[in-house]
Amino acid sequence: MENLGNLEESVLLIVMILDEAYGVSVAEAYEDKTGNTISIPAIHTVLKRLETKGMVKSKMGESTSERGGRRKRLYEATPYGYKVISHIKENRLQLWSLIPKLGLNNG
Amino acid sequence: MDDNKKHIDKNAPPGWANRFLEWYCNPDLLDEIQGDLFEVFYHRVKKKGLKKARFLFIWEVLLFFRPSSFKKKSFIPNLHGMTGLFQNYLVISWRNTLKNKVFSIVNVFGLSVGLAACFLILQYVAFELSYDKFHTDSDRIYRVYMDDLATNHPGVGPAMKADFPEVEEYARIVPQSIFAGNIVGITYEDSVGNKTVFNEEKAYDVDPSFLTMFSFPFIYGDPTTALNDMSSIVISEATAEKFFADINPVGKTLVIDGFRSFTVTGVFKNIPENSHVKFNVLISAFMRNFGQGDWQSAWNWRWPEFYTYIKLKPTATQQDLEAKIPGLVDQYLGDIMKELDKQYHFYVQPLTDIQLGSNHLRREQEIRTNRQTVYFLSVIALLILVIAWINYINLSTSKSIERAQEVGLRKVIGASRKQLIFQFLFESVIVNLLSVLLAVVFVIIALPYFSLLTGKNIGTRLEDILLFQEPLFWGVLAAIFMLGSFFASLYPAFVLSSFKEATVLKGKFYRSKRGIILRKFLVGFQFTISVALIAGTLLVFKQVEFMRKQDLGYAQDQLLIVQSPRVGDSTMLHRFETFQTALFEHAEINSFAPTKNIPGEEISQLNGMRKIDETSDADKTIYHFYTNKNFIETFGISLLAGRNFNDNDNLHPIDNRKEPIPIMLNKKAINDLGFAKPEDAVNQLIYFTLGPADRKGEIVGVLDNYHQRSLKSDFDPIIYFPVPVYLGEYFTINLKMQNLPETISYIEKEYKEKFPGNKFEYFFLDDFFNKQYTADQQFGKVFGFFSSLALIVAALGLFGLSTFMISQRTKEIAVRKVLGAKIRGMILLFSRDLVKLIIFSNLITLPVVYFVAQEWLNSFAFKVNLGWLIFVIPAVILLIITVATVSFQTIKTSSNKPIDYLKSE
Repeated sequence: MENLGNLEESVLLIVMILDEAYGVSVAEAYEDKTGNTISIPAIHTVLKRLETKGMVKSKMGESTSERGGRRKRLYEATPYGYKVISHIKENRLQLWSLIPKLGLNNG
Repeated sequence: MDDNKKHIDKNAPPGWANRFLEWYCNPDLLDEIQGDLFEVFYHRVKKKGLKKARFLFIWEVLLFFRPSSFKKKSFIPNLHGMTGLFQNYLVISWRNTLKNKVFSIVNVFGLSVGLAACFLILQYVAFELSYDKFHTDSDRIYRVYMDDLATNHPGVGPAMKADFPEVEEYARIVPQSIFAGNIVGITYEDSVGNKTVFNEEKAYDVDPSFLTMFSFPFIYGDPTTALNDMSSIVISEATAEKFFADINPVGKTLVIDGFRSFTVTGVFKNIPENSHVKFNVLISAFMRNFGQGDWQSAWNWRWPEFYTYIKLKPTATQQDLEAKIPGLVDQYLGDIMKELDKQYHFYVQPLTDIQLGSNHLRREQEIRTNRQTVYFLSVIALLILVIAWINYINLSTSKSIERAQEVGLRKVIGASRKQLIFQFLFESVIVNLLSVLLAVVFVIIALPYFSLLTGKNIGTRLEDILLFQEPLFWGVLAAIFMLGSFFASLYPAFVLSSFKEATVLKGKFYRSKRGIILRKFLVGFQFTISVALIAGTLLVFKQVEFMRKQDLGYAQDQLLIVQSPRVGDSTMLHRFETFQTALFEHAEINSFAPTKNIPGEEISQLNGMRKIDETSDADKTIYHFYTNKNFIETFGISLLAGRNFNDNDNLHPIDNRKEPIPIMLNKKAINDLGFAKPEDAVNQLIYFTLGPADRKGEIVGVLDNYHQRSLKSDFDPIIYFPVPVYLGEYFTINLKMQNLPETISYIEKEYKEKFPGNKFEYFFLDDFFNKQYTADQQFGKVFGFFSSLALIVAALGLFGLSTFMISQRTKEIAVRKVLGAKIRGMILLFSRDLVKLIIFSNLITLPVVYFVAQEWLNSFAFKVNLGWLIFVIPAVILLIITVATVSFQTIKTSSNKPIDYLKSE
C-alpha cells in the first residue's frame, strides 16, 4: 500500500469531504479546518501528486466570472483513494489501542 | 489584459504578474492555475485587503514558475536556431561553476553581499523618507513651530484659522504629561468589579479635528465624531487588547489616574513605525480650555508646549502663509516681545519634512534622524556597490586565465569574437541574476537584525518591506542588474575573447600591460574606499566614546535625580524642609540640592547681562540657573574664586527690591563679560535682565565650567540665583553607591510621606545625560556595520586579484622553487606590488579623510584629537588582509610539485 504524507492525507480527506473540490476550495477548507495557511501552488502540487498515485481523479468544470472566465479542475477521490484512507485509519486505530497509559488515564 | 480595462478595474491582480503567468504557463494548465489564483485573489481582497492580496498573487505566480507548469515547447524564443547554442553555453557555465566551487561561491557571494548591503541601506533610506506619507492629505499638512522648539503656543492654531483664509483646519496635540505625570495610569473595572490597571506613556490630549486632519485608520468608531465629547477616549488596537482582549470596547468606561472617567468611542489601528508621533491613548479634555473663542487672551500665548498642525486649502502654498506669519507674531506676541525684549519667530514645516528636518528642534516627540545621515548612508550604499562590481570584474578576469584554452578551441572551430563576447555576457547575466536573488534573500534575513541596529523597526515581515513595494526600487534593481551584467562584464568578456588561439593552445597566455594597469587602478580604488570607510568608522566611534567618557565637570556617576513634587498646598515649604532634613540624616546620602534644570538638557530660561558700566547694547546671553547653597557640594563643582551662597542670600524675583542681588557666575560667563581671571570678577557688580527689568547683581563667587549640554555644544554661560527655599523641578541627590536599593527605597518612603499624592519618579543623571548621544551611537553602529561589509567584499576582491596574479606566475614559482627559493621570500616578492598599491592609495585618501574628519568634528564643540592611529589602522588592516591572501595563494601553489607546472611547455 502507498505511503501518504501528512499534508497529502489531509488534502485527500478534504477532497472527500467537499462537494466541489478544486484548488481554491481545498485550500480554504484546509486553512479553515487546520488553522494553517497554505499557498495555492502547494495545493496544486499535492493534488497532482495524489492524482499520479491514483487516489484522486479529475475533470474540468465550468467557468465563473470570479475566475476571470477560467474553468476549474474538479477533483474526486477514487475507490483506491478511499481504500488507502481507510487502511490508514485502521492502522492508526490499531496503534492507538496499543497505548497502555492512554487507557489508564482515561479510565 | 488590455490597458483600458486595467485602468478601470483597480481591484485587479497586478497585470505584469498575470502576463508573466500567461507567458510561461502551459495552456492546458492555465485554466486551473490562473482561475484559482484569480478566485483566491478576490477572496483575499475582501479578507486581507488589496495590498496583501496583490502581494500574495505575485508570490504565488512566482511559486508556480516551475518546470511542471511550463509550456511543453521551450518558452525561450528560438533565436534563429540558436537554442542549441544557448544550451551549450548553459552547460559550459554550469561546468565551470562546479569546476571551481570556492571561486564561484566567492564570486556570487561577494556580489550578493555588496548588493544586499546596498539594498539594506536603500530600505533604511526609503523608510526614513516614508515618514507620514500615509496620510491622505500629507502634502497639505504643516507643523507650525517656534524658534528652536517643536511646539508652539495654544493660541497659534485658532488664530491662523481665523485670520488666514488659506488655513482650512488646525489641530493641536499635547502630551498628557504636561497636565499630569509622565505616565498615565488607566483603570478598567468590569461588571463584576475586577480591576485591570495599565500605565500608559503615550497619552495625548488633542483637538477633535486631529482625527480628521490625519488619516489614522479606525477599527471601531467614527473618527469624525469620536472625540467630540470631552469625556471620550480613543485607544489603540494594542491598548484595547490589553484591557478588553478581542471584544469591541466602544461604550466601556476607562478611568484615568483614579478619578477621571472616560467612555471609549473608538479604536484605531496601531500607529505605524513611520509616523512622527506615536500614541496609544487620545482624549480631548483639557484641550478645549485653550483657544475656544478666547484665543486672543494672553494666557493662550504664554505656553509654548503644544504641537500645532495646520491643513492648508488645496490651492494655498507654504509661501503664501510664510509671508503673513511675521504679522501674526507681531499682533499676538508683540507686547510680550517688547516686555521681554526678545524676538520670537514662527516657522511652517511640511508634515513630511518633520522626521528628517527637525534635528535643530528641542522638545520633539521622539528622536529625529539627521537628513545628512540619510544622504551619507546613500553614498556608502553606492560605494559598496562599486566595490562589489570591481570585485566582480577582478574575479571574472582572473578566472579567464583558466578558460583560455576553451576560448582558443572555440576560435579554432570557428567561433567569432562577437559570439564569444555574447557567451561570456550570457554567463555574467546568470551570475548576476543569482546574486540579485541571493541578495534579496539576504535582505529578508538581515532586516530584523538591521532593525535592531538602527533602533527602530524598519520592516521585518515580507509584506512590510517598503522597498519591495516601491516601483522605483524595481527600476533601480533592474538598472543595477543590467549595469552589473553588461557593464561590469564587458571587460572580462573582451579580455577572454581577445586571446589568440595559436598562443593559448600552445599554453602561453597573452598578458596585456594595459589590463594589469587597469586592474591595479581598480584595486587601488577599492583600497581607497576601504581606507576611507575604516578611518571614518574609527573616527565616529572615537568621538562618541570620547564624549561619553569625558569628565563632565561634576560627580556624574553618583547623582540620582527625583522629580520634584507637582501637587501640593501651602505647607509645601515646611514639608520640603523636613524632607531635606530626613535625607541629610541618612548615612549613604552625601548631599542634596533642588534645581530648576539638570545637566543633559538645555536650560530653559535665558536673557542678557553686562558689566555695570556698560549699556544694554553690550548685553551677553546668559542662562538662568536657580538653586541653593547645596548645589556646589551636591554636584561636586569647584569654586574658583569668592564664596558659595549662604542662607542670607536670597533672590525673590518679584518682591525683593534689595540690590545688589548676590549671584554666582561660571567661568564661561565671566570670560564673556571680559574678566581675565576669576579673582578679578569677585565682588564686581553687573546688570542682568530678569523678567521685564534690569537688576543689579554682585558676583560673590565664580564656579568652574561644567558640561550643561552634550559635548556637541560649548560650555554655556550660566548665572546662578540663590533661592534657599525653592522646590525646583528636580531634586538632585548625591549618594554613595553602596546599598543603592536600600537608599532609594528610603528616599521613596520619605518622598511619599512628605509629598502625598505625587508620583515618585527617579533616574540617574549619567543615563539622562548620555541619552543625548543615542543618535550618534546608532549612526556609529550602522556606519561600522556597512564599513565592515565593504571591507569583506574588498577582501574578497583582493583574494581574486592575488589568485589572478599567482596563477599567471605559476611557472615562475615552480622555477624559483626548483632553484631553491624560500616561500617567505616569494611571499615578499609577490606582495610587493600590492603593498605599494596600499601605500599609494593611503597617501591619496588620508589627506581627504583628514579634511572630511575635521569638517565633521567641527560640528562638535569638544572633539577628540584625530591622533595618528586613525590613519595607521586602516593601512595595517589592509596590509594584513593582503599579505594573508597572497601568502595563502603562494603557499598553495608552491606546495604542488613544480613538475606539474613545468611539464606543459
